[in-house]
Amino acid sequence: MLCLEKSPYNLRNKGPKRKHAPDEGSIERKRLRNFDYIAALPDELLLYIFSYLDVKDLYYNVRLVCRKWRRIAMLSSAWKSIMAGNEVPTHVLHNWIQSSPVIKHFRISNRNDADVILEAVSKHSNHLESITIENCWGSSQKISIQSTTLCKLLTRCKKLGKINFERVKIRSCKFFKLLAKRRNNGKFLQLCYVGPVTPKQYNTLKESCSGWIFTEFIEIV
Amino acid sequence: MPNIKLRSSDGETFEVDVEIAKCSVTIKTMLEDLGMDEEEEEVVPLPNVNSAILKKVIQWSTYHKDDPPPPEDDENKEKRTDDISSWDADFLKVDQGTLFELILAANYLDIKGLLDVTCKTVANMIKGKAPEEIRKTFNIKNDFTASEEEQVRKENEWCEEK
Repeated sequence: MLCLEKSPYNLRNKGPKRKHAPDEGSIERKRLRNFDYIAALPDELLLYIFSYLDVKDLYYNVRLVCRKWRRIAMLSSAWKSIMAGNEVPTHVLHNWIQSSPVIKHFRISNRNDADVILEAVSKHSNHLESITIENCWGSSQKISIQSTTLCKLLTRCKKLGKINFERVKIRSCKFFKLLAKRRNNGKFLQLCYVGPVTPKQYNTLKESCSGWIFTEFIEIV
Repeated sequence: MPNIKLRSSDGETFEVDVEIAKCSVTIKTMLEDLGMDEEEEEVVPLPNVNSAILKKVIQWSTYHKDDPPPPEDDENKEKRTDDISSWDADFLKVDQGTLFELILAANYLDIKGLLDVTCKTVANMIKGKAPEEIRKTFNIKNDFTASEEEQVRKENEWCEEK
């Protein structure tokens, strides 16, 4: 049930008046056909219709129809996960993150803007539950991803329980230390890390991860 | 089987098998909570549904009366729209006004099966269409300002290149 409490809707009352319900004249019928019935649907029903569409339809088409559709499309549950490879430009992905407050699962791969993107995620995606970063650089100049950004992610996204890093390099030990602190607070966190670490990072990681679900696939540099 | 009477917004009364009327959770709750006695021949007023739509709703509920209750929505599961039965597809070959009134009626009467199939039908009318085609299909006015259009155009440049 979506909106029983709402005031009664009667589309035809909002549209052109009809004299006889089923058998109106052909001119009347033509007028009715040009009436945008969908505009009279309450938001929650439009959202329910959008829930049957995939992200592609919502992002490329639905979002661009009109203001109302744009607003409602961005609330759709389809946005609960975002996956972006290197074909999505930074500003588009940034905008996408900014306008979808309901993201639960986030995955980026083969990109060279992880620092900026993760900063945006930490700021806007408070409902984030899982994150995957695959073969990404911090920026076009630097391979490694900033620890501070990752720390922000951990502190701001309180529901984050699953972290998956593959072929990713992280700068400094701060992030690993915070992971350890978080675990000591009794928060469940599942971590999978595949990538190069320094010996110091390795030790911190090992300390913080004992007793966790942890895939040890580490290449020490 | 006992019958109950339903009265549409335009005053027409329909006599329906109670079990069929109870496809509607709204009517079911009304009968149970308000203690409307089935034998008293009371008329259930439905001020939000006109007779043409109520007739369709009863037709749908009669055909689907033995369906198992629809499963709860699982937000993690991808929702399909290609599983509309041929009977439903035929039933929904109606003009847009009727289709959207059926959605509102299904929502008001809380008939999940009918709500799902009507919303899927509309979703199928949207799928794979460009914004302009969607506007044309539903007679929607493009109310973006020139600068908003420009921004949207910029955002989409990369996908048009592909």
